[in-house]
Amino acid sequence: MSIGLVSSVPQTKICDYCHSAFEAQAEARFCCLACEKLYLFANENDYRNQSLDRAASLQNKYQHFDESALQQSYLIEKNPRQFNLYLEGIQCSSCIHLIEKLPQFDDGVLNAVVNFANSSLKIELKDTANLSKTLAVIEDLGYRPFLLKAGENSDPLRKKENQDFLIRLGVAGACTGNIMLFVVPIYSGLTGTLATVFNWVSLVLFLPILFYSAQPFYKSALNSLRYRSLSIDLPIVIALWSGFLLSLYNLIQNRPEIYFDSTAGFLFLILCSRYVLRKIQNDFLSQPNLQEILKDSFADIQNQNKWQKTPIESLKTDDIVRVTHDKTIPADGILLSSKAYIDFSLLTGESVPQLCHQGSKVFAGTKVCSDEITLQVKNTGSQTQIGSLLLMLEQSMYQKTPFATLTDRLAQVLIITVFTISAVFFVLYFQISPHEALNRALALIVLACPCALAFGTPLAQGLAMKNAKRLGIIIKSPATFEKILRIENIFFDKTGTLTEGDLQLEQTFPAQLTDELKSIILGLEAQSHHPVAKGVRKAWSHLTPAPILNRIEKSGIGVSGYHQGHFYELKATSIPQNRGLLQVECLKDSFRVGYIYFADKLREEAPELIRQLQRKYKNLIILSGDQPGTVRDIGSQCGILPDLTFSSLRAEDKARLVHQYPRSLMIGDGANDSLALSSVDVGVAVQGSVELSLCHSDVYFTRSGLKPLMQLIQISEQAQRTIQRNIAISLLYNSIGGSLALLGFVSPWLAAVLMPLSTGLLVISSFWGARGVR
Amino acid sequence: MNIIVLLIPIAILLAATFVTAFIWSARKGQYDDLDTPAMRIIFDDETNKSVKGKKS
Repeated sequence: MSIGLVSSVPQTKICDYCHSAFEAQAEARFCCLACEKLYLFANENDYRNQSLDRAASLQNKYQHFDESALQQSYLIEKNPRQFNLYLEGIQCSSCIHLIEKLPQFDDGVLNAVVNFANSSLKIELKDTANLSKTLAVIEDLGYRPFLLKAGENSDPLRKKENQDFLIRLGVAGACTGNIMLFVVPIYSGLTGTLATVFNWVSLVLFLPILFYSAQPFYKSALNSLRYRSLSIDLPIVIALWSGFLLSLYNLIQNRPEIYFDSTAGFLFLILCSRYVLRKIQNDFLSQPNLQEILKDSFADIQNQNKWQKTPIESLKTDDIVRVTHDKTIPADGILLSSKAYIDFSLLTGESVPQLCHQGSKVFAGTKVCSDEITLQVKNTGSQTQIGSLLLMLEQSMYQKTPFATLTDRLAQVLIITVFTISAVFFVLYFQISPHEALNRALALIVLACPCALAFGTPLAQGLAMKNAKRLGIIIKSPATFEKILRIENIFFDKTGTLTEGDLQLEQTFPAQLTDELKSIILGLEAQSHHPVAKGVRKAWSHLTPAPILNRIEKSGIGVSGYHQGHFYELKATSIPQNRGLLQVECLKDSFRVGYIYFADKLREEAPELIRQLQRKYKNLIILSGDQPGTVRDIGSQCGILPDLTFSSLRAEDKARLVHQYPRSLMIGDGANDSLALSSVDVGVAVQGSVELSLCHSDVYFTRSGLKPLMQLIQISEQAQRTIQRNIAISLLYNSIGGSLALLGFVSPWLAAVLMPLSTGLLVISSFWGARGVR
Repeated sequence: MNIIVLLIPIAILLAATFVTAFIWSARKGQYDDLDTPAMRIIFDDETNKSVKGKKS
């Protein structure tokens, strides 16, 4: 079929490495980046060395992890050293294959094991190896590594918990199955001694369920009693014990109403659905602390005309501090050097370093890109901008009120109703037959227990989360689905969210640069990770880079090198007034030969997405730390009115604005968004977000772009519809079962039939509701 | 029918054996990661070596 198609039209191709079919342009040879890298590693000898060179240039970024004090908090095992990482970008089996080959790429790594389900990697390092090098190699392979703290998120505590839960489930399953085997003869008409024996065996088999498998329910039921908030677990526990006591009483009285099988069955099913949900819920990044952001534990302080190494904690106001190239500024202060390039990406998400002049403010956590600067300390520790941000984030975590989901609220109503009815019934019927009154009242509690509710909701949520994950949307808590549907306002961050966040070549001066000059520029930028280099490579991908001698890269300033005896330089200068254009000048033997302009473009899908969202939501608002002109410009491009665009905002301003609009969703990526992300109902972090906002968001997109936002809304709507349908089914079942119980029609046999019937309906409904979203 | 007196304990013992085996395997960590091994098996290093060998 593909014969005769123009090359630019996507067609089905076979990947050169993994031989799987994929849709792509004609030139593409590989289905994904991992396959391409694997192929290159296997077939091109130089590739490995080049990769090591590139990794060496990245290593600086992770240097602070080599300090043993910081490393301690991440260590999960000492001998050999073991670390857990979260990797952004694991998508397919080739990724696993590539990453698990890590010991071949970096000889310091003894072993690397990927967990695909939660995108984590466990590495074992040799004693002599540097952690920073390994991290750099991983980044060069195309995955962004985040170190996970020991104990908190992942191994081994979590693992033990999961294993315990699985064992509880297994025990419940085995006991339930065997109880059912012993009950079948009784339903088929067995009576007499043998029937009694079988019932007693059922009782024995029921005990492990009651005392072992159901333990998590007791814990959370107790908690819900203690905090006076009814959760669905309390009615489950009550129904479980009512079923048990009623059956035990009837067994002793030698009466036929024994419900061990149905009670065991419902507990097993609820455990199953909880397990599904648990498996899908992701391990999330732990909260970073100040030390990790400041990265170095020592600073150079001027003391009587000498430089002295001092711990960061003992820095004081008005100290003079020296910070060298590529290091992190330890405190807020005033710049004393005449000028400096500073990478503010931690605070603003802006990837291009800014030029600061003498006397301007510099902030802790930002990185020095020029040679060496001196500054006068103004604020330290938690007084710094980043420190106070962390402090506020911590507070907002505690202030967040727990969200009562529809299921929890319904459970509350249901439990009150059921108990009132059964109490009233018991009192009224007591005069007629005390025994029958107790029997029917307890049967009502067992049957009208919201077991279907407790089963259907987590199942629907779990399936929806799985669906979302397949589309690259990671959802932290199942309550998010419900929250999203109550949203009225949506806040967008500009840089990296509405815009690409990468630089794109906009124009050059003169308008046509010669191919020779272009390939020299490509050669200069060939091994750089700077956004400009990426932009140049993307724009001129058809040209081959020229060979360059003595290439020197100074991050934040530019690159230089020799080509055919001439000295070439590329220098970046930002001109903030000019619509966020970035200017790069090209010098040949110190004479300007051309300018290249880059801009951060609006994402292609943004205007259409915003149009769709505008029909649905009250306010769409842009929040940005950028200049008013640029922000308004972006706003008008995607149809957002100027009075709903807010610019030059700091993190606190964003959070304050967000507070004025209740029921809101915020989507952003920078550290300056993190406070707002944590204070809105639903905080969404997009791909490439800084760690700080990843940790404080409710939802995280692992695919770039804004398309996942629409899918997230769709999935939430679908999930909520399914949950509502499940609730309707279970309420119907509860009321039918309940009335039959009160009328005295319920035999154990009927209960044994009703339960799987309702469960089957719920399973079908849940899977039907979780059909794929496109 | 008296044989049932013997059969019931045997049945329960059998069930208990399987539960024990299950607990053992769970504690060993066999169910910790259900997704990755399924994908890991797709690639075996042997084919890679042959690819490498052909070219170099």
